[in-house]
Amino acid sequence: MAYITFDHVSKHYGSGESLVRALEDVCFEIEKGDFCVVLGPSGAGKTTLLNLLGGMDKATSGTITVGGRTVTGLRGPQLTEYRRSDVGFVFQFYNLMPNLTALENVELARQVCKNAFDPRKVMDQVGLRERMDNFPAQLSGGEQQRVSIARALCKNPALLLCDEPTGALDSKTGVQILSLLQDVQRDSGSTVVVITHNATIARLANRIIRVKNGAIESVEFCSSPERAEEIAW
Amino acid sequence: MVTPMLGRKLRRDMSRQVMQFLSIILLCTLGTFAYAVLDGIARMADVTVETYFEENNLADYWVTLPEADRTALSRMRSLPGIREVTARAQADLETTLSADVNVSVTAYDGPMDINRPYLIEGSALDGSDLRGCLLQRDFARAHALSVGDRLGVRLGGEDIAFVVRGIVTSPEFVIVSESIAADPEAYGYILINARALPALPLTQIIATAQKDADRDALRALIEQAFPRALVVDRRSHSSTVRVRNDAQMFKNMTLIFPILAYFIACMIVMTTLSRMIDAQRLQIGTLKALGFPPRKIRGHYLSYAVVPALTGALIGLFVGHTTLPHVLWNTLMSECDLPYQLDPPISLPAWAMVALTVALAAGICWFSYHKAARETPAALLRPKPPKDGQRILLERIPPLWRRLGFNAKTVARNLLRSKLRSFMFFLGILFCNMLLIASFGLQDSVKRLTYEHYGEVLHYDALVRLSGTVGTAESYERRIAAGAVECLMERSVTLRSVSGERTTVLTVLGDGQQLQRLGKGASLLELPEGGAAVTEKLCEVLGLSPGDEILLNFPGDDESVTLRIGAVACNSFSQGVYLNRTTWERLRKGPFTPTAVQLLDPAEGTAERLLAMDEVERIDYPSVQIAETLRMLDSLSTIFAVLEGIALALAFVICWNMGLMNFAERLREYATLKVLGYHQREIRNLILSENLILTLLGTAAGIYPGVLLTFAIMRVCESETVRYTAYPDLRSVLIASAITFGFSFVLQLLQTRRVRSIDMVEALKSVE
Repeated sequence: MAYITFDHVSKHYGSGESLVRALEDVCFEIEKGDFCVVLGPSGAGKTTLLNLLGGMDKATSGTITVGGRTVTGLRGPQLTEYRRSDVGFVFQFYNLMPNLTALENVELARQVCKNAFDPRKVMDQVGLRERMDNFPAQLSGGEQQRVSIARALCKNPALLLCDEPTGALDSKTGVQILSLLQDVQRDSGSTVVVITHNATIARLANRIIRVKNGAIESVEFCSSPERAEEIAW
Repeated sequence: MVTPMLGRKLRRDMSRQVMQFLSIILLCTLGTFAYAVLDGIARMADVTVETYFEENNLADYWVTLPEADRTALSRMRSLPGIREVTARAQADLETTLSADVNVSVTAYDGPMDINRPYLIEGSALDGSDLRGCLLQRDFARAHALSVGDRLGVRLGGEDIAFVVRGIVTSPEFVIVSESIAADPEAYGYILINARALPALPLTQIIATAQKDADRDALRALIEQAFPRALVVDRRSHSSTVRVRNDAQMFKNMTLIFPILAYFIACMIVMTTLSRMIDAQRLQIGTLKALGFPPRKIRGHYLSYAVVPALTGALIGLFVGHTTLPHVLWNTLMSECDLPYQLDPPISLPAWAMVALTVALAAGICWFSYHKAARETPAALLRPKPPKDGQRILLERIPPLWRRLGFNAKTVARNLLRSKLRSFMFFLGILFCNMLLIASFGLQDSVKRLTYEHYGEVLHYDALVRLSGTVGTAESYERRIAAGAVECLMERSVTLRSVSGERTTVLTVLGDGQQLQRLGKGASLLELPEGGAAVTEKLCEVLGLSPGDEILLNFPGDDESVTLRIGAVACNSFSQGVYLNRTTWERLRKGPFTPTAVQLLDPAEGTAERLLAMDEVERIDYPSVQIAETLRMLDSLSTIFAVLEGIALALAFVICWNMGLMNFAERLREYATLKVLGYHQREIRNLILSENLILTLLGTAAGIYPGVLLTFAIMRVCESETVRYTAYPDLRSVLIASAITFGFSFVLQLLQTRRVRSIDMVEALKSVE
């Protein structure tokens, strides 16, 4: 059985006249250690898909399993536990705590995780050794995104979920971030799921899931994904 | 078309942020409410009392003299400035109801035009009616007497019955009591015609002054014309002074407390409003970009302030004015026998408070709007960057900072990041604790003062009041069986100094007396040999200090005596001059004739034997006086409950409001924590610890101002004849602090339940 399976998953918002079908009867699988890109135009349902996968939202119907655990069956504290130990999130707009330094933002994640990495080492890994004691407002966008990734990595998550990680960055910085994500996938064996509307980024993936109007359009495999340094947009 | 859309936006904004707008309305309500209540009571008391005095022609002077005959009456009438005069007889007589029930009988020689009784039932007393009387309402009610019933009084061993013609109240007997508290079961008054009781000698002339007469000069004229008379004016007439002091006390209380509450409320309103406008910067930018004239936009945002502030302030004003004063009136004025209760219109200062509320709220909106509007529309359309994190002072002390846990560091920085919000929260808690301490402290102080005065300063167990001059001090001391017997003599005296004069009481105590402890802290004060001891408050009023010379003038005696102040006596409840017996006798103003005997530890049956003696008027027991004073305090407890209620209500609105603000501003942070896998409990604990630290600081910081406020309120409640010292009790301070802390804690527990409802997806939606 695959690491991640979506089995006839639907997500509806609202009701009656104003019912919005964000996802409708979605089925796909992702293998452990994949670098998977979910590609689609805005409003296609990508973020909804990621939110369901990350345990931030509940599916209306269908089953999601991650590593043999049925995420759709988890309740309250179990769901928190799942986010805490299994999932790392990277947001488009970083969502760092403005009044914690870069290092402290990473420590924040370690607080709740049992087998976390040493925050300083992780900061080193993302290349922010020199800027550890700066506050988010003193960092550039790329640096902030790296803090955000460090925060996710620190928890040693089996699953790294990234929502438009390069959306707010320029091309050059974006490439650096993607390269970092590729390294993570390669070195720690984490499964990385990246959401984007940018088709170029799909070239880095060994699994590409195309989403359109709340449904899966296609799933492609690529045996030899490109290196981040080779692409540009 | 412009305005209706903005109006719709205002309405929708309000319904979306209904809690914040509600809290503004509520705060404005509380701010004006407290003032409206106290101002309402004060004005109600003032207008009712003064109207009553005016309409029923309260006397300006009560002149007691050996014989109020025709000559005296015409001499009085001839004084320039005197308008009307009437001669009267007055005596306290036993009734036939029971030996313990006395009435004060006032017999008018002529029409009852001065101190005209207010007729409640029945008819007025005809001048020729020798069998009828007018009876005090409360007394009639207490003894189930009504018009047509008979009431007998005992005079010289003879029972004389009167028919009750009318039930009345009298402006000169608003506070009717033999000692401290009114007790209509045991004491009341009747009014009759003088010819009905010819045995009672006419010894009093009451008079009114012409409107433009100089009251003090006239008083001096009267004293000159009747050197042997005791002249009492409205400023020294016991009932009148006490009623006016009560009214004044409410007026003084309106000064401190509600104004404090008002300004705290205003500060919170201003903070909230400025935050709300800040949160609207995107929309301000949009409206500007759309080309709305600045005037329209400004108007729109001003209505953010004006609508809730005006609504709240008006609600507070009307509700405060129309409800509590009427509810509290009966308990507060329970000592006063007033025929009616007038309801004056809302006062100008109260309206001014409303105007000020609206002006302050509008001002801060205008200011916040202009701060935002100075930026270009483009800048406004970008979201405001989140406030930077900052190094705080604590971090500059590395050994300390390193010791703190991660959570502690976060809490410390968060508190200092939003200084204004933290400060407002802190202030709300501080204020709540301060008011609670003041409220408890005031009650403590009155209790402590009462116990100290009647229990320690007055060191005797019973005070036997004598009428007339029958025996010498030595004879009483010999005859009465008690642990200790000491006589005292009280005389009315006018005390003159460079800075003014007051009519007061001169008390002559035996040499080496033990039963009145007039020193500091109820210690024994040695009365100065050849000098006078003057009470603290009287010294203060007249600007006197030990060593100064004072002039004592006795009624009916042209020759005044000069004495030096040798000591300051401490007496909280009555002011006057004390002399020892030797000093008095050296003045050659008459012999030492006891007017009262103080008893310590009286033997069994002494009281009965004493009451059987002709010259004994009544016996006062300090233990009973304590009980009566405490009972009066109980009637005030409603007003303290209102104080406490307002304190808690303010704390509630402030904490709730600041909590809402905190949530609104940091929703993204909490959502992120949730995504990171923080349990709800952990996030709650984080918020709780922030607010509990503030609560702790606020509670602690409120203690000192609370104690100060207690002192300040006690001070404004002082009249010329009392000295109130505040004694806030440590226990009360602790209880108040515990209530404040517990209240805030429960509020936080309730409020942090919202963590559960944080929608991660919604909160973290990208800003698109």
